[in-house]
Amino acid sequence: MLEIKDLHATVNGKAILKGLNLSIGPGEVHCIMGPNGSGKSTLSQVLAGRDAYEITQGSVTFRGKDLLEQEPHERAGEGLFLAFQYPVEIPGVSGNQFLRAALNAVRQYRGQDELDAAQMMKVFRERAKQVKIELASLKRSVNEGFSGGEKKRNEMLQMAILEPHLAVLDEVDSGLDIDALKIVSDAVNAMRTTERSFLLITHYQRLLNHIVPDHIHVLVDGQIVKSGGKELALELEEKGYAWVEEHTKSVAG
Amino acid sequence: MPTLAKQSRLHDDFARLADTGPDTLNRLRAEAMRRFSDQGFPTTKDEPWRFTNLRRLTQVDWTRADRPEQATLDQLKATVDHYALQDEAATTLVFVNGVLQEDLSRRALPDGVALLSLQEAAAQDWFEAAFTVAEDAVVSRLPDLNSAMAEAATVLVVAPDTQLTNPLEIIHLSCGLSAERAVFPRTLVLARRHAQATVLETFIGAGSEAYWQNSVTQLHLEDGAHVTHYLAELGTEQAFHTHATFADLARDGRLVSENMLLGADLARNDIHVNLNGPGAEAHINGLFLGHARQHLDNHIIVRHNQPHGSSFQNFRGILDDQAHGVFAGRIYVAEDAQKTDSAQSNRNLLLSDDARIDTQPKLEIYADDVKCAHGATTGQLNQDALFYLQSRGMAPEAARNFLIYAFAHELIEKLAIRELRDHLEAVLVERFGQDGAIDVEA
Ligand SMILES: Nc1ncnc2c1ncn2[C@@H]1O[C@H](COP(=O)(O)OP(=O)(O)O)[C@@H](O)[C@H]1O
Ligand SMILES: [Mg+2]
Repeated sequence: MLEIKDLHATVNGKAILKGLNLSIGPGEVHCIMGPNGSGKSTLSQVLAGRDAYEITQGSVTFRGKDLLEQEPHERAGEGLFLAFQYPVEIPGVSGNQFLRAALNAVRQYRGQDELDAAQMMKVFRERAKQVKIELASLKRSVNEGFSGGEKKRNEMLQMAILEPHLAVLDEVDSGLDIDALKIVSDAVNAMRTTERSFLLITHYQRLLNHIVPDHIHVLVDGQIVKSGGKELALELEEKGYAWVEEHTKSVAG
Repeated sequence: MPTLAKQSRLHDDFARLADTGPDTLNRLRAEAMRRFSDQGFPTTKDEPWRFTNLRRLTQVDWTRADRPEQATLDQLKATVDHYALQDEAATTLVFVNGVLQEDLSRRALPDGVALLSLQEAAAQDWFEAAFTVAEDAVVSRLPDLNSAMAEAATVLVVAPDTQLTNPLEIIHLSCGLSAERAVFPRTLVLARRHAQATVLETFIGAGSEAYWQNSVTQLHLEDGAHVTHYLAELGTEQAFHTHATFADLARDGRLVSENMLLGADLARNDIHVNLNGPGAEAHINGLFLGHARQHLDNHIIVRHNQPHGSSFQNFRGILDDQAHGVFAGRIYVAEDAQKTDSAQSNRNLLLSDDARIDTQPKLEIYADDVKCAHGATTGQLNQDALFYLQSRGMAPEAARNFLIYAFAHELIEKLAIRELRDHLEAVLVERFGQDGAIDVEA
């Protein structure tokens, strides 16, 4: 599904990703954990194609194609979805208008027919039902004045409607109370199939009480320094990131 | 009077009109014409006209537009229908080249509203005070030219405590019977104590000839009256439009003024609001959407003359190609106007390197216990938002258009008249929607 090899990225001349390797197969759920500033959001933005980041080395293949060659909207068309850590507010257009435009754009890219407003509504309802998230928020302006939880729920609704092959969820759990966390996790679990892959990015272990990943990676200073199964999360929880950082230094030293 | 040299035909037109009305009107017209002639057209040397050059307008020897013939009127029906509110409950008055067209209009007036002709109005004891534009209120003598030349007017008197639920719509249409034709639309609304009314004025044109509309709207709000005034400038690419709205608010009067400048080659919209009673409140909003070589100028002066008044200005401009936008908003707070609450915002989007905006907030405050906020921003589109949209599948151009639409739509979605909202949304979709990227909210 996704193959990242020796990825190096800089922003404003500052190196952030420093040789990152990651391979995600179909249907797999991977989780990247790491301390603040380790480059988690940078990785997600680089995958989605934000041009503020410069790729200085390495390659990314997504479903057999060179991802780094593609424009952001092409990546969406190919089936990549990024749930933003900080979803953007867009006053003046409703979530419905926004998602209709997005879904039709993606459908057009995929060579599918455009849907009219009524067909759209039907799709929205089906998708919302599957992930158990209310459609009411789509009547409001996109993310405008939404609480943290509402924004994240809205990202999950968008994911459900756009039906990506790979969803990258950047701190989809941060700032959520336990009820909201449950809604978001249930949505992700409802979307899991043997084909669809997920890359969860989180700072906290508690998300993994709700979504059980196949693999966990620890990102420190732009590199994955440790990978393991789900038990790695517990170890991290117990010993903290300092433990991995120490561990890495001693290995490197 | 160098700037008047070209206007000989208008003087002839005036001479023909001068003695045709009741005495009061004849006198007021003559006085107004004298004031206009003394000063002539404004030039860029006049501070309020610094950014708006009327040279192309003043070089034309304008003449009053002819009365349209029946055959022309029949052809105009489709144009009028396109813009007119379809809502059966609305009252729609259609003026073609300054003449009220009974067969294009829907004149059923709601209870509590009287529609007077200019001649009828001139016989009323309040007429002179209501019709005369105060000397110190103006930034040019163009409103005087309107007073002198307006053959007809829409005079609406809304009785005390009347609450109108449906809008009163006035369509001012200029059509191309002759080149270089000028029209002088005049509207006067007298909202008696605690009356509530909505007036929608739409300025349009037909044909490909240049025309000039020099219009004046006066809104008099007595104690506790609420008036919402919409101005929609949707003229042709050849249109010149100079407009002035004058609103006087008595105690607890409430004005909402919504201004949509989308059409015309050159449009100048002066709005003068006087808060003359304590507790008066004014909301003045506008959207100006310029492309090609359009010049769209909004000039707002709000005078807080009494305490506890509030006024809020919110204008947005979107300028593409070589369009030039102007926003000048002045807030004047008199010494007695303590506890004034006032804010002004002007945000603009420049979509091309050749587009231009001049924005000028101006505060003149002589009271000490007041709140006045103002801010103006001009910029490009938000990069984070652009990326967010692209990450959802929209190509760069579609994402850009989507954001422009959103920026304009934020003002439009608040408009209370649904049909107007729909109409403006359709214009936005036409300009900024592509491949069905944006559809209007059902
Ligand atoms: N646009 C930027 N300009 C400068 N530095 C940046 C920018 N974006 C991120 N960084 C820096 O890159 C590092 C990694 O940031 P980020 O990827 O957001 O980390 P994380 O998501 O793991 O907290 C941080 O040190 C941050 O300050
Ligand atoms: Mg982050």
